[in-house]
Amino acid sequence: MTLFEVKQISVKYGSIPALTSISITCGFGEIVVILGPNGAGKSTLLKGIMGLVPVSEGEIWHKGERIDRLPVYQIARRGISLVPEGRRPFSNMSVIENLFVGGFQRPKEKIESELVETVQVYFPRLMERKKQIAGTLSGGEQQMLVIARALMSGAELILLDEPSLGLSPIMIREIIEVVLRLNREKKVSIIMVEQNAHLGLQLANSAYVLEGGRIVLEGVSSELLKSEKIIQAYIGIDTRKNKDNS
Amino acid sequence: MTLSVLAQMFFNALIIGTVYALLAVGFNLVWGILGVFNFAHGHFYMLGAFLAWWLMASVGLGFSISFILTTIFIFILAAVSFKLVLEPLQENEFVCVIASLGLVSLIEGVVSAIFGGEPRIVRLPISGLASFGVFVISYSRLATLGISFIVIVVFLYLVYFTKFGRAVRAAAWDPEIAQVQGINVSKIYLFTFCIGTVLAGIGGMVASHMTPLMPHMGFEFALKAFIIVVIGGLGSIPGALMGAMIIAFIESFIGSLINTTVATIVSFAVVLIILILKPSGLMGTVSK
Amino acid sequence: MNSSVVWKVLIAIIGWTLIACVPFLVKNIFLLHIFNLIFMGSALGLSWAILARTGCVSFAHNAFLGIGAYTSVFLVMQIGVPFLIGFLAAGIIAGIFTLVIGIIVLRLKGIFFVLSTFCFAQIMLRVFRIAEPITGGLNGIRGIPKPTLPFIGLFESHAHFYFLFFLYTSVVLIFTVRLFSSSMGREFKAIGENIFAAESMGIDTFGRKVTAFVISSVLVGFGGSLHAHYSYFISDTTFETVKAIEIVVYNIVGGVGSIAGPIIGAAIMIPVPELLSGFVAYQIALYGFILILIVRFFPKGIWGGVKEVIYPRVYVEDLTRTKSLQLSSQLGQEFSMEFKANDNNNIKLLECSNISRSFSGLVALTNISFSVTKGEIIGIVGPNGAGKTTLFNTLTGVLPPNRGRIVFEGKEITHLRPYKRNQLGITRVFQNVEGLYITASVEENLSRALVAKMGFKGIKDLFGLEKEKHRRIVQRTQEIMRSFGLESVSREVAKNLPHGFQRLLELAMALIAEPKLLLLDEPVSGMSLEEMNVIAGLLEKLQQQGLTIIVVEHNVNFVMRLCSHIMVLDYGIKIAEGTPEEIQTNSEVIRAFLGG
Repeated sequence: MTLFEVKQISVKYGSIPALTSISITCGFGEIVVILGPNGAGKSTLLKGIMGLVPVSEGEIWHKGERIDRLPVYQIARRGISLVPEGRRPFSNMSVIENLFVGGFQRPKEKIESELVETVQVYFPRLMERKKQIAGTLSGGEQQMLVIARALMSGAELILLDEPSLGLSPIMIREIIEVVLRLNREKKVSIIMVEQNAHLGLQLANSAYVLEGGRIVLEGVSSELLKSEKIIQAYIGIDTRKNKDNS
Repeated sequence: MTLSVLAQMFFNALIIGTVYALLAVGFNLVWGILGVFNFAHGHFYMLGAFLAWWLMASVGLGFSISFILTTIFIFILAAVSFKLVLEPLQENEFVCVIASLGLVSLIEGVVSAIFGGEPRIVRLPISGLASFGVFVISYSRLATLGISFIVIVVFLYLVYFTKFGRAVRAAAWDPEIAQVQGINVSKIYLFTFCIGTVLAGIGGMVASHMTPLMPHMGFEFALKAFIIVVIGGLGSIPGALMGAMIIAFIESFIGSLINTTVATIVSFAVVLIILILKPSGLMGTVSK
Repeated sequence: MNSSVVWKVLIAIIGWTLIACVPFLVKNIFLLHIFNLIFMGSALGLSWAILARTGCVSFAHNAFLGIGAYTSVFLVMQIGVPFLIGFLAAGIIAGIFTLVIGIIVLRLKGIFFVLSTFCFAQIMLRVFRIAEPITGGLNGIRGIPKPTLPFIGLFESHAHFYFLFFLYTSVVLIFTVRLFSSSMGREFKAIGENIFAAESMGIDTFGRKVTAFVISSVLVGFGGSLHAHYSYFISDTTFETVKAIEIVVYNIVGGVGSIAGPIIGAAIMIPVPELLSGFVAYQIALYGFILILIVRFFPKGIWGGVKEVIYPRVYVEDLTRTKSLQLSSQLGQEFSMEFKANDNNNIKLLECSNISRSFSGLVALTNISFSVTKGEIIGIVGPNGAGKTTLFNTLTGVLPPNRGRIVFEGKEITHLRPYKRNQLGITRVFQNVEGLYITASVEENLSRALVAKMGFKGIKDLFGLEKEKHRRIVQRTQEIMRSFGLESVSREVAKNLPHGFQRLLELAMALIAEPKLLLLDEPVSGMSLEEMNVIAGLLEKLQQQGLTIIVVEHNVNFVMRLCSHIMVLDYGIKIAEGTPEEIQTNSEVIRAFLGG
């Protein structure tokens, strides 16, 4: 049984098709990256999985059960969590309160132990600032916070939406390290959206490239890294060459 | 203008201010967090007053029991109103407002029909005056001040130090992401509405002895709640507390020195100016 | 004229005559009084609806009612003018108050506007209470004289008043009908449906809202005068908040947005409490209960519900026609724009220098400078967060830059409002069809664009009597629908069109105004390859006719094919500019898109 499978889903905003016939899979302990130019529908895919936008066609399966018609908070309680684009911490609350909200559906002891085992180990700087109001943290710190918040629920599958957006190269490096460690050591599966194709391909086991709401390329990351096709999907050099030849 | 008159006005303002704080904080919860402008908010205040009066005067129950029973009743009534009338219309703010107007008529009508429209005077079982040297306050009013204060403190504790309160604040800031944390936001909304409305009811109860009770007074208190919340800032609890004091002081001082009508004009003028210059209010954070 | 219109007019005339004859048949004073109240309520409801058409909900009409009433009473009783003067003055004074308060308060959006009207009304009510010399304060004014009209005499009995109210309401009704079908009325409706689209389309949304507010209040002022001279006595409680709420309720119950709505609403909600006065105690409760039921189960009001029963075919989505639409490669074949023949194609149409914009600390654009030559198609590309949309917004006037200048045809437009830019010849197509009126038909969408462009043609236009303008609009709309393949769905509601056609419609709307510069924001996102090629072909044809185009797109293929000149943004800075070949081989650009 695969951990997670999306089968031919479509999402529409009114009559505007955002996603058409998308199928992806993610195994236990895997990192999957979703690439593509902006407007391709990458964020919509994660939102659809989380239940924040309705899926008009297709199915979503998690651990052998269908989850595509469930309300958001029930999907969350199954161990899936979204780290949204733009981070979106609860800026009106402190770091520690954000973490507590992340662990909302768990008893106090579990929250405390998670704080010690996970947050203190992987995000020590966050614990140093636990009383600080989240809205005053830097971009990188907020990114750490929202990833930690997602882990507080004990989630096994994290949906990461553009974690590198707006961050300095050093911060990006740190985030990447944490993500890789979490995956290796705690066996957290990750479905990640990245616009930075190079970065995404280095991190993930497998990749899907989206364009115009459809999957135009998929495969094992290491192969895609070497292929020219990825450049084509982003910049269209090949297509232009063909036009000139004909 | 003697010191004793000033002190009297000051303490009156303080007492009224705490009652208004209950009213306004409740309204702020409902409007600021749920986005529901409930015109009937003041009517729950009125209902709290009438119910407590009836339980004490006609049924003969003690103050504490009346307090508890009234609170429970208002909580249930609020839940029913929300589920049947307001929640289904939550998407369309404007229609929701109209529906709340329907609630206003409904509640006022029923109360008038049962109790009649003549003003009632409520007396709390405490009598006597406490003297503080330059001024004098009745024990009833001190009780009002005390109970309001305690309720506000309990409420603040609930919001800032409990799991439930955290869920409410999270849902207020970002309902979508709150869902992602496993919070059932619609259940939170229901409880928030009920608590906010109950606060109004409690305000009515403890202040019931300070003015004659009439079914029609509900609307006036809804207006006050509205004024306070806009001045203080929609979505800000500290703002509502501050706004309550500001309005209480305007009413107390301008009302005593000139007249109450002018005091009301000043209050509304302040609101209008704030709406034009800084719609998010004095301490505004959330901009919906 | 087709037969259904003839029937409607016939029924209206018969109905009108019947209603006019009522006082000859009904002598019961109480009933006549109810009728009078219903007339008054309908007229007030209609007046409110004029403002509501622009999407502005007012809770202040009770204040204007009072202002009109007190003006009229003061002039008639204390100055001694004849009733007609008092009546007219009532409207004018109410209008002046509205102009002043409207200019201040109409800047506010949504609920803040509503609340500020509410505050204004509350203040005025208290002012009524204390302005004793004019209003009589708490005691009010007694003994208000009945109206006397020249040539007709004194209106004394309830029957006399019936005719007066009936006349008044008829006039208001006809005025409203004509206003709604005039160009200005259509602009009101456009603003109410989608203010964003209306402003971009060249409608002075602020100016129109003020106009609607003033017209509305003037009518209410007149109503106030009538109301006062009908009642023997008025005081501040006559105009209390309930009155404002009632007017809104009539509209909600009857159905907002229709003309029959407020009339039906008044006809239902006014008699109810009166007829229930036997059950005084529960009458208020029942009123509230009925209101809740109607609002809960008839979201479109009673008239809206009735319409859905009588005309189900019109309101049911019929997708069969729209599903068979295909984008044809013949698109735009017949479309021609009337450009002046002597166009000099080498002038700089648009010049931007040093545009910078930041949002509370986050820098979106830094020193962007570029220029566009007449007759060019230029593309703006860049990865997510590059600032393309922000730049676009500064060009269209939605967002002012913090620094920099934008010059169009030699004139500075940096801080001009969107509607003014449209009038200068800059039109825009939005990213997610935000420029469409999705509940209006294809034809209505297009003709609105043209109405906005044609401007106001004088007082006859106010009443929809400008036949020539109307004819021209219909003709041009037909032309453009034909040339874009939309004539088969001209009556179809925009919401039901397939996505590609919604895009096409929006493009047609931008073109029908014959712009000089067209700004496109991601015109082909979500489209298939064939559709993209059709759009590209269409744009090329338009370029040949002299149109200058700026395209912001993510789809680099599309931009490469279409544009002769491309600008690349990254992190708010221009990192490259040049021909497509130059851009594609630029390593900076490749790095920006792919990361590295």
